Amino acid sequence: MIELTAVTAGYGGEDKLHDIHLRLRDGEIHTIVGPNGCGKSTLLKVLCGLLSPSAGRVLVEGRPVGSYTPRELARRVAYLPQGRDIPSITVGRLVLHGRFPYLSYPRHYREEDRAAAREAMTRTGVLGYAETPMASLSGGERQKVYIAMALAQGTPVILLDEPTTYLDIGHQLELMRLVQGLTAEGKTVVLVLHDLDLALRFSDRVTVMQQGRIVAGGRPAEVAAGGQLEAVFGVHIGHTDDDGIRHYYFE
Amino acid sequence: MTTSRISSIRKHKPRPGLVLAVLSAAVLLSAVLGLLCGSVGMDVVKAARDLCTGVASAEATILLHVRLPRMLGGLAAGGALAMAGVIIQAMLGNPLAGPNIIGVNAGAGMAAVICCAVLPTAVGVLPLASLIGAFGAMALVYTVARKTGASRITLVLAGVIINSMLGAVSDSITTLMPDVLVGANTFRMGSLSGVTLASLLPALVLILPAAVVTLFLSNELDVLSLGDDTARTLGMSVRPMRLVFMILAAALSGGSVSFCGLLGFVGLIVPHMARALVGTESRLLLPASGLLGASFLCLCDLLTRIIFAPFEFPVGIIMAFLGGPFFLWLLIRQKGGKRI
Repeated sequence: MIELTAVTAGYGGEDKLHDIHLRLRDGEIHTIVGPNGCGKSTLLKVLCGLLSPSAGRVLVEGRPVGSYTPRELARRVAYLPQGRDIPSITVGRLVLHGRFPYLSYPRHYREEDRAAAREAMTRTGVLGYAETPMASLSGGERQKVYIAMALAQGTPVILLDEPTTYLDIGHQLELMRLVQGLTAEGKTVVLVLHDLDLALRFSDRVTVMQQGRIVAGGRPAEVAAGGQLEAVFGVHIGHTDDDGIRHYYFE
Repeated sequence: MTTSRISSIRKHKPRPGLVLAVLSAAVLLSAVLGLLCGSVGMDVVKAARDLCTGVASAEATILLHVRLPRMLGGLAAGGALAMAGVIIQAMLGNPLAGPNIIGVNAGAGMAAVICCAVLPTAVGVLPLASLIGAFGAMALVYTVARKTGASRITLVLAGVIINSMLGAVSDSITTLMPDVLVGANTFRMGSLSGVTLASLLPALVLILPAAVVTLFLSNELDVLSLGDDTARTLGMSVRPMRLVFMILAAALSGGSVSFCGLLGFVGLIVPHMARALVGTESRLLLPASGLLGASFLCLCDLLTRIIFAPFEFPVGIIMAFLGGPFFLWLLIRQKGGKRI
């Protein structure tokens, strides 16, 4: 679906990513982990076309990402950035703007757009807040609304940069199960996570980054056993198996 | 969030359709009052009859050449400045911004003064010159905001400074060349007393299409206000769209300034008043601000004509007297401005 080959990218002439090779497979949860400042968010921006690489190429559905119009790309890739202002808008309207890529003459949302927004709000549990201003919500509630907006966009690829921020543990697990449900429908979800346990437990593939480079990647168990993850974070990784579910711990 | 809290928020949400209907009625009422009332008493029915039958009378002249352009000017400028305020506040993500605060009106005024100095007889060019001046000022403020990553307060300060600089250019020209702009003080304070059909019609050519296009692009304005990255990932071509909105705001502000001078407060406070009535979504906020601004300015102008009749003073003064305390009350009511 999305393929990066020898990608180098950065800001203001300073490269933050170096020689990135990455292939995102359809219907998988692909999680990127790494220490602060290692280039995870920059990588997501390259994946969604917000940042053009200074070298290498990015292919979306086999076509260079730069060959898409913003509208065409927005119908293929949804992106939830890391930090956001609190907009002066109601929850329902914000989620409905997730349908902006499908807006056509006379620039009004249609009933099918409203239905898609309602479904996205239902799945994320924010339908009850539809008439509520975003400013009245807690950080966690706002996070779920933004995820609903990304879902309403109806794209085959969804990029979520630290989506569990502001969420308590219950809502984190709820979110990860929601993501699993999306991949079961064939969508590709790329996550940037700081929580290694969540990353290793729920992902189909994990990519480990350090100083702008990919240093390890593969199935979670392989990555956990490979040693690079421990080296990058300077921790020891252990695990316990409980009813077929592997829980990781770090010390 | 508890259900009761959500319910309490919902309770405060008025029905937008009803609000827009009431505001439309207010516009009609203020238009009728604008024609009926003035600094001199006269039989408006007779004036209208004289106009229709082609009888030359003082009443007919006052109605056609004084009250009608003044009323239309009030509606157009009030609506246009309020809508420009909504655009500017959304684009800059700053509720303290307004065309008169960040120098957009001052840019239009400066261009108008320069146009009067260079082309004193070309009245029809004045709105276009004002548009260019307003656009230049807005582009300057926006560039400062982008390049410096300025905070909301810094941005307003930068706008105030640009406002002063552009105002100083206008003042220098009118001081050195007093004949350039007759009634320079009135122009600075903003007034509808000198509006004529000749000065109004070219401005309406700018204002009306700009208002229609702005209403048409209300979803785009909402998405743009979510931030550049979010807007781009939602499929918006951000730079061209921002340019469109800058041109629209400049056309609305510049068109108004070209015939009524540097009217303050409308572009700042009317959007806030409208938000209190219909919420923050541009599809409702833009028409509500336009209607509210139109009736507000028209009624304020009416007050300037009748309070000290047969004398009158610039409408900008009465707007400051009414608008200032209202804005302060709004700030205090909304928890020290946190919700603005």
